[in-house]
Amino acid sequence: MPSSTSNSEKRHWLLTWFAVLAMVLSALGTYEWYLRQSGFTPSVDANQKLWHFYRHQAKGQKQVLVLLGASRMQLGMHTDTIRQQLPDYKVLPLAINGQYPMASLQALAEDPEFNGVVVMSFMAQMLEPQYLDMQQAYNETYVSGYSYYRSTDAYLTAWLQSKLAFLHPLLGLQEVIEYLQAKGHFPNPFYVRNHLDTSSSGNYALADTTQLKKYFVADKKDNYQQNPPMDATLWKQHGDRLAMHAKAIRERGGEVVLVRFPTDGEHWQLDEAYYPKSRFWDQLQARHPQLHMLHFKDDEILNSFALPDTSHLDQQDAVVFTQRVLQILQQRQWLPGV
Amino acid sequence: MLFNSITFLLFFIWVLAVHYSPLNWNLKKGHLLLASYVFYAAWNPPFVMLLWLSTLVDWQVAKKMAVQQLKSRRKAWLMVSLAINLGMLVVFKYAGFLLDNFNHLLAWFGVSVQFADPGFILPMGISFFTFQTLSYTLDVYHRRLEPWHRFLDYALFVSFFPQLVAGPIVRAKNFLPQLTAQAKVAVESFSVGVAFFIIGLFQKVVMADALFAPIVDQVFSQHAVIDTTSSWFGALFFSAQIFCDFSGYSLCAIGLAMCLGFQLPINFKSPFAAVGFSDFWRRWHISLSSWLRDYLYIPLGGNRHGVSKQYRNLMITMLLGGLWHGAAWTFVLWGFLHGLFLIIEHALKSNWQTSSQKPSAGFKLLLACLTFLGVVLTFVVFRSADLNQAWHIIAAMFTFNDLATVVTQNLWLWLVCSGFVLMLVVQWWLRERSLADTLNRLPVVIRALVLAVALLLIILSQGNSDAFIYFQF
Repeated sequence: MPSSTSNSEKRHWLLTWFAVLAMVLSALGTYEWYLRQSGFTPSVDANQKLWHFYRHQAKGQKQVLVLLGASRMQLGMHTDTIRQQLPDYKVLPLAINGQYPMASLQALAEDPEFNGVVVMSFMAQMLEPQYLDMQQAYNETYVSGYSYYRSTDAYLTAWLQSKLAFLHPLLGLQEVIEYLQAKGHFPNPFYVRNHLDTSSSGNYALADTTQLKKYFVADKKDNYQQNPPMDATLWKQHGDRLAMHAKAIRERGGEVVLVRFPTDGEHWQLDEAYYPKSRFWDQLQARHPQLHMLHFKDDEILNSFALPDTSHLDQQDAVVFTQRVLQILQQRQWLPGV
Repeated sequence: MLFNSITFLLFFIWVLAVHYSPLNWNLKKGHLLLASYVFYAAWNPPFVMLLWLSTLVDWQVAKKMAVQQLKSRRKAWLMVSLAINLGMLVVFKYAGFLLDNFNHLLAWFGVSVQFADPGFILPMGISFFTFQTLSYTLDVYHRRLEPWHRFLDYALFVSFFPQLVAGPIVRAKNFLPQLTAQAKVAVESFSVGVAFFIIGLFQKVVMADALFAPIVDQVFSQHAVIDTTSSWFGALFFSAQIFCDFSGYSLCAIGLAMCLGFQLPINFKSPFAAVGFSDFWRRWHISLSSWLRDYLYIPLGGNRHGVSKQYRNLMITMLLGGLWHGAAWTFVLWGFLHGLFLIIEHALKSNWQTSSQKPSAGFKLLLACLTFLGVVLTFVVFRSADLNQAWHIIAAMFTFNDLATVVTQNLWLWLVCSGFVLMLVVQWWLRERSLADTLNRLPVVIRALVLAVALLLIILSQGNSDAFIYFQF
């Protein structure tokens, strides 16, 4: 090939890459700017591989504090506040949205390399047989298929997502196009934001709380009607199993604290109608006095929060709620080494 | 490691940095080999030992065969290689399938003994690297190739990471000479490599995973109640999905290799623009079809011993080619159907040749459409979990029922249809053209626009991406 042709091809390719870079950066920059201006914030896809990444860090460390539960734990415990107040602890939120945590507690109890502190969101319904295995898949795939590469890759992807709003998991191409067709406008900013550590914060100022309240109460009512409380003997047996898991962790130098997160209004009335505190929570505590249990109704401050959707804390309240929970844990000396 | 992951991007930047550093070529090759093992081990570290086993066995076998004058001795050494490589395949890939069928056979004879599936994990890309090393051993056995003199080069040939887990299957005679000295990579060549990688990723992330996969999954999961329109969407879009997925991977692999100064063979050449099934197999998964031709069809006798033996050889080749894809009767049936179509085509062609009539352009187009339809039907069998599922979907395609519409007809579906048509148009456009030449000839603005849009869509479609389909083979 004559060198002039080669040089011109080389120049054309360099020009191409310069133009590609300019177009991609300006398009993404404009999109990011538009999203930020519209009130969108970056959010992370809290998927199974990312969960594996944090689960792996819970092994072999004494000063580790693991948060188990579902969305109430994700939205209710403010992890930055915990890190500020307990700087010696490595804080690992392992809550999974929409899934009760009994399987994860069991997995931690059966893992001889785990000897940290577990703070678990707990309520009586979690001991029903159909909820015991909800987080089993996460734990099974962790044991059978943990891969350093996959979990690190999930972390790097999440890290990027935590910085850039256009990588929001709910703003994928298909999601946006289907939303545009259904509603005729671009999506509104989302009220829940997932952080890099898989904890979340809820900005309920962005949400239609009247609709949310209706939804959560109707959903809970339906859930209780479909799944009425089980036989008391079986419940006690499952309670004994829970106490056994807590004992196993404690014997290795760790600790387990069960926290009943607040619900309010009609939601709490439903909870009380189906699983009265006096018959379930208090009896579990009486049967297993060694269990460390904290119910929001037993503390004036924890009971004082207004819940925008009857079930979860707003991001503003999560900080105060977390401070109070930590204060109680420290007062009761439930945190080893603090 | 997946090409569509951030870890891979960082990994490749590291590889490039070392590759273009002032280190000597042997050190760089050693580094490439180490990087290839890291790439493979990232998925499941212990399985890298299989790669070592295959490498060591075929290296030794080739050396032993080269010094043997007696054909019987050479054959014995060849058998060692075949036993170990195919043995690995049988144990890891086919053991469950074979035992399951053996259990059925025992039950059929009234024997109540049942053997449990060993449940081995299928090592990623095992069918690719075993076929690659076997081609080396077979070439040395047939005296078409001298054993290579440097083990490091040979190990890199077996493990070269861009094509290790999903091809293209590379031949030793094409790859090993490229390792004698580091090739100088011009900006144009490097640029085409990067462009291939971007286009390959676009095919995988945007076309296969974001556009086609969700509808395909929906259709195949509801096969029992599928309506006619949805079943056609499922069949057509799966054909598009598997093409974009697999050809996307191959293009990424070729592009990455180009960036490092290596030439890999093209693996897909507009297969959906094929006129006839022979033409399809000259365009689809070319490195496998040429492997099967050279190491199975021709040694079986090819077309040298009359028509009936040729048809037998074609059918055996296609059946084994089907089985290569997976341990299930659906893959065997897929291979059988392709074998059958090839035989019918050969029979018809020999009639045309005797009557010396040349098909018109319109007739050629009709043949191309029939070929595509045949390929789509076989892909329904390929995608189905079992023969029952395949039957349900194919029956729904041709019974014109109006059951509940499984696929929602909305704006997104129109977009997917547009993507499908665009894919076909591009394949027809590239039918007799090379992608590299086309890219080089495009005006700068158009080329930049195409690559920028592809890159943007890749970035904005991330999140729903899966592993490449062909990893499982």
